[in-house]
Amino acid sequence: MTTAIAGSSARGAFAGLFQRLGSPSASSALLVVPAVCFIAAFFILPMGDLFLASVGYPDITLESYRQFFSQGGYFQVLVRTVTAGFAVTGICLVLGFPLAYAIAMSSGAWRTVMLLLVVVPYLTSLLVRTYAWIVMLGDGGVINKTLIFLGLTDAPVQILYTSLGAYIGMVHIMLPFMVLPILSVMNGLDERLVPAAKSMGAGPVRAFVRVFLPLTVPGIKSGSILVFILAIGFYITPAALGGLSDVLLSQLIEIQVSQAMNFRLAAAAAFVLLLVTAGFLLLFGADFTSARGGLIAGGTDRRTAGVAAMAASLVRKTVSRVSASTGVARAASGLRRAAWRRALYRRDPLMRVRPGLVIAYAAAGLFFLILPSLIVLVMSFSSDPFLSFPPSGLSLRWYEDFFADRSWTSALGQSVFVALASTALSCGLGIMAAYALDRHPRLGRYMMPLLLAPIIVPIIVVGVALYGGFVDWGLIGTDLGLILAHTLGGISYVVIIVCATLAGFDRRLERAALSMGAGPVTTFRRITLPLIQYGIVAGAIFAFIHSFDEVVVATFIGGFGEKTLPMKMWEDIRHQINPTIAAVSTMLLLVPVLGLIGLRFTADRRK
Amino acid sequence: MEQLATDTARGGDAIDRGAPARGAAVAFSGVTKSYGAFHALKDFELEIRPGEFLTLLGPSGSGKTTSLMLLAGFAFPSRGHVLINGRDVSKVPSYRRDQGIVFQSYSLFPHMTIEQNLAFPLETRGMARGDIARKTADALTMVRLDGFHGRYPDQLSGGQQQRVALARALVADPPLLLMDEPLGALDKNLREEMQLEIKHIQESLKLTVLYVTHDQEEALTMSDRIVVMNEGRIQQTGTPVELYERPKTRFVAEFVGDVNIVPGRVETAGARTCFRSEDGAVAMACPPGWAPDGEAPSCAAVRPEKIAMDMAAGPQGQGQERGHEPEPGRVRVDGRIREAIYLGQMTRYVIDAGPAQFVAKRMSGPGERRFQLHDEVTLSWFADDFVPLR
Repeated sequence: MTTAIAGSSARGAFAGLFQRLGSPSASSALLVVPAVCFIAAFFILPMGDLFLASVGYPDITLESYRQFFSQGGYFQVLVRTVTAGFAVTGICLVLGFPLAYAIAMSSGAWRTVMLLLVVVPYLTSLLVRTYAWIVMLGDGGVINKTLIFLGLTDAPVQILYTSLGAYIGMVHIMLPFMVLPILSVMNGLDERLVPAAKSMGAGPVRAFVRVFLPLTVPGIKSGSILVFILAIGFYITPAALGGLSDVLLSQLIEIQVSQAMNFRLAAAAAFVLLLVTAGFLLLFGADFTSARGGLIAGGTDRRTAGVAAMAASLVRKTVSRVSASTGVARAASGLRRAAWRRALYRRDPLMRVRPGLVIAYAAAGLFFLILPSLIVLVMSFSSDPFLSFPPSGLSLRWYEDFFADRSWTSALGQSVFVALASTALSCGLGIMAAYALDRHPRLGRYMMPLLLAPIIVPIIVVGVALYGGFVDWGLIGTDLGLILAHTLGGISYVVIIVCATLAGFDRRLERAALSMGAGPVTTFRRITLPLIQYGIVAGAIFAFIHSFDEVVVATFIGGFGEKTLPMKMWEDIRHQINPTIAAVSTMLLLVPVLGLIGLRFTADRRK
Repeated sequence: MEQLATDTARGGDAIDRGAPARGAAVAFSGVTKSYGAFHALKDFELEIRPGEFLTLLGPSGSGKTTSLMLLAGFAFPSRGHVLINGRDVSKVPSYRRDQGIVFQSYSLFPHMTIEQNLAFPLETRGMARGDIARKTADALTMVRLDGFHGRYPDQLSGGQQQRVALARALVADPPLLLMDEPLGALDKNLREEMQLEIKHIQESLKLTVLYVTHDQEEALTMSDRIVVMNEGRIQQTGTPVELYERPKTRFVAEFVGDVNIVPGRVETAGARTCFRSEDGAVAMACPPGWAPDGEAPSCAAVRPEKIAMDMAAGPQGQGQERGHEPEPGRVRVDGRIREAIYLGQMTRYVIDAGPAQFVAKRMSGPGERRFQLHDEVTLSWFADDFVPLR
């Protein structure tokens, strides 16, 4: 008797939570609190400490900033960094826009392949791609060998450890970040607009310039902002590929922390970088506040959610078995779309002018994106005891070395452990936060920037801040510290993706379930959860990959603790180029592939 | 006292089952619903008899959907009470009410098969698996979709989805069926077919139905009674015939069907009262009781199909008196045909009568005369068909 009453009153209380669907009760807004508290504690506080350090706490002086701007060429470094940022952005735009256009204009199997060739590098570990370039740009690397072979030079040209090398690497890493937002916008355009313009007398070029191009500007803006911000905060690739005289701001910060032990100066430099980032964002009107399906100019939201959706859909197409009833419909719509695209294709301005040129360009671009990974893959099976391409023989020795080497296998184990733990924590906090933001859009205005801050702030700044904060809390070199640090970014990714999923969720279905006698808990369990689980898994996959591949923050706070796989790789890359790294890199190529397959299987359940 | 159905081991949520399983009685008593300063419903009073098909008809924002939401339990009244079978359910949440709802967008669960969709309301009521299978099969048969149980909603056409939504609303034998503009997405033929089908099902099951629509033809087709609403208030309640033949306000007259509105007023000259239009072209000797005291009509209305047309008697020329003297029982107006639109089963004429315009519809019956553009005609209709409106 009493349990029945207790049960029903508990249920009644819970029911109060959902009682008025038109205006959800305030209780669900509280779900955002845990995530916010987490980020406040483990991110905002360390950032605050960093700021205080930069102003010379407990004395408040601007000594460190003065030092930065007047002394030792630091200001020049800043200028060089910003210039590099603009340069990389510009190059990526010039190279990336036609590539996005070619993909948008293609269809069917070609389109799937092209998309794969952009998305896989995007999901591939930064270290793997950087390492590939180290291998390719070296004196004995593919580039030089090709140049000599073609007779363009007699002796190897120094590309590695020069600014050219750094630029090549950065452009390669950044290109998907430019292509995907632009492509996303192009995909969303109404296909009938250009033909409509032509029907009104606009020639193909004019139609393109006055109708198509302006409509892609949001994507261009997204991509450019994203690339610029990532470029000025970039650490790994310029550090690995650039020369000693081409140091960028992020490297300077790292040197101040690890070698010069001048934490205050590092803090000041970090905040200068942060200010430049924030200034750029404000200048170009990035808006991170909307949670529900917004076009966010900053691009982070659309990049991640859009890529998750694109990745899932393209895998669905490549792998799925077509069932009888849907297969016909899909084939028919595919044919219709292909026919329509062919019609556009025919009248398309660039295509008509020089079809071969665009196709060749697209092929070159995609080849450029995937080539480094392919070379590393081939080299990992080489029997030569040193890095060489093409290899003289094949063997599995480097793989054997990896599995025999305790330091590698325990690093792998550590990576998996930290990634799983931080993913679990990120999902728990992030899903609740996303749910709260979906039900209370006005909350998003203040909460969204906070929840996304860990991935917007340049990674080097995060690394320094967490280093400073975690030192005080004794978390340096601990597993807990790593897990907490990775959870920060994980929460951001989970929130982005789950918010996007919830935005696409039809809330009227919940209402229908309620009308049929299902209480709030049953409704959530049987209706809401199954329909958003695709998004939850996608968020988890991104959080996992984020943690698994993360190296900068891990290096800062890793101390003398157990190394993760990327940490060990980075160390080896800096100090001894070992072909085992090639084997590790190839195995890490599995990560995006598995991730995409994971996305595909969850997407399948969503009808 | 009402009995609450007990939760079963399956964890079904409690449903309140009121009196007999067929046809609940519904009452709205002094219901007001406000959202801040905006009043969606004002002093709403309505009773729905068991087994009655009642339609709420009105434009967007009239409060009809709000009324349905209140009855469904998705919103609660700011003031007043909602009663089902005499029991106050004003604050009872939706999942504790025994009802079936067909939504405008059907809201079929996309991740469940048709059979699972139909089983859902039975599962929440804790029904045994064998019974569920039997009832879902019966429901599919009722809407003529046998064999569709394994399909998913996105594999069905719009019309089929609509039928599944209807079956799902009825599968648990609720005493009350709510329908929120369910046929809006269907093409005309399908819509008419579904209207009849819904009506037949309702009649055979003797369900109480609250139907919401903005389509007046649909309301006239299906309803036992119609409630015309505007801006949160009831304009008029009545059977389709009452609303069409005897509208009380200008809004109702114009909303339900086509109508000719003649602004004017009642004049009393000694023992005779007559209604005269503002421009003087129309004059009628008022039948006794036509305009009750205390309610001065602002206009009078006549339906287009009630207007008889004849070629004008006598020569017409400039300066000719156009008005007719008021005669008992009939109203006459002279005019000239401005438009004659042939619609197959009927012809629609637009006639200029002085500053006013009249629309008349003549069925293409045997021996029916067809008038031409610019013909001079005399329109006439019975005084009974000339309805005073506030």
